[in-house]
Amino acid sequence: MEANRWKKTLAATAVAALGVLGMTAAHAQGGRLLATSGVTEVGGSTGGGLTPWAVISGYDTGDEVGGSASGTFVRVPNYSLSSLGASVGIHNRLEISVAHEVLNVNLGGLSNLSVLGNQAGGLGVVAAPSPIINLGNQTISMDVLGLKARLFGDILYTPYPQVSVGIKYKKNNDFNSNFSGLGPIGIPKFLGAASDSGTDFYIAATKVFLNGIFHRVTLVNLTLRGTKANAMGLLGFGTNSNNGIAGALGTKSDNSYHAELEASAAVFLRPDVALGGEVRQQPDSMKYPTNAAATTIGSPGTMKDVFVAYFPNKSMSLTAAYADLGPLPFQASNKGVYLSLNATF
Amino acid sequence: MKLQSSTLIRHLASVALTCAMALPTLAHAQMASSPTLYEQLGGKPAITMVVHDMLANVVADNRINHYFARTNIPHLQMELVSQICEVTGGPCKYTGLNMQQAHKGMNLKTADFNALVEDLQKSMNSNSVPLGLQNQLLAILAPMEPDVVHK
Repeated sequence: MEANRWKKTLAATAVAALGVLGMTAAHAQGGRLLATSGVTEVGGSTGGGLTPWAVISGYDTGDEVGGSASGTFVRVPNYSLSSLGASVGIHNRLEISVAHEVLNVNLGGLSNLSVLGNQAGGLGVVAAPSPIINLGNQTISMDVLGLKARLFGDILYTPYPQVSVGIKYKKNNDFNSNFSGLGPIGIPKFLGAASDSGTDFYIAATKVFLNGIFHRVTLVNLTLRGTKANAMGLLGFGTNSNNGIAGALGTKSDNSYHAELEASAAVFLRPDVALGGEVRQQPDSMKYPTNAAATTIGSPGTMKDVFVAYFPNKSMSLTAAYADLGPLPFQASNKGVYLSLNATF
Repeated sequence: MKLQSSTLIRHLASVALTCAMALPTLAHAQMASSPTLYEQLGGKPAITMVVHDMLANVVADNRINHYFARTNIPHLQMELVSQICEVTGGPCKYTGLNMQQAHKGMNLKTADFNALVEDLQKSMNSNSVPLGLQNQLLAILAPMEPDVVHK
């Protein structure tokens, strides 16, 4: 099943990329400099691998229209995430983006959850002290619609950073999907999420120093996000102490926005090769077991990655990263490979 | 600030040897002896080659060559060489129009400016200008963009 997902993602990415490359052939290339398109973050916006930047999609300057399509695959031991995204940048001012993300959960059947079932507010939903929770090859999908507007500045040409604001509407499609015979309770709700959808707000500042570290072009980005999303929304939005195992784990109801910081930095070793890293904070209201025996409890944590991005030309880029997604349900450490193919027009 | 690594190592060695000497004097000597970007680029002959080849790229560049259809290219070359010489710390004085005056009424777009940058990068590559020096020169020229476009 895992291999199939890989193949499906690659195939879909290839189709999207070919479509865009076809368009590129007929479209005059945008007037921005190589690599100033950025790449695409998992949520579909132009940015690094995990964080949106102030950059507007494509290579277009103030008088043109551009965009990109991307496919991303992240693989850690018991989870994998694939994302297909597309974006259109209008006059280097406005960016509209869409993304479809699928998280594959492959922890197998977890039977030793009595620690949860025995407690008040625990797995009372199934009235069993020790049910088997089926987390083998489950999927959680989410759709993301994003809008970003550049307020002022130019990443290259103004002494101050380029600053953009954005919103992201996210809809989790498996909030209520019966995944383990518990009724209309999907994995996000089972873990105590309050809602299947949420809207993030962010402001991002990006600056490129042409004569940066070691006289190499250096990009720095800071993003401040207001969000209720658990694990980017793949585990739902907010928390409700009455949902799923929230009560057993001591998860409090929390429907408030959390301010989270995200940062990226990249150095262009060559004009077409960037080496960089990112960090992204997340709300930690949601609690979940971080081992299969459910004896340790954790929350979504700070995600990090180090990446290499290669821009052979203005039509495409390839990003490879080593990512640390922080604690995920029933798995404390989640480190693995991130690959992304981005086609730009 | 523009020390190359070999120069840096030599300076560090001299610092070690004379650490008992007055440090302010040494720091001053170090600054005085560090080559300017102009010198690192190879002085006027090398800058002239880069500008010459850039303008050849521009004339062949269909995105922007129409702006130069009635330009006296040898004169522009002379002006650009003296401008780059001056801004990189060389012994020249640019006497041409300032950037706003020079581009007035042309209504240039950022895409045009970027095309010129690409033609310059192409020329610096073909003249084997090291990337670090390319970036230092671009960092000096890039802030001119707001004075060049949309005028």
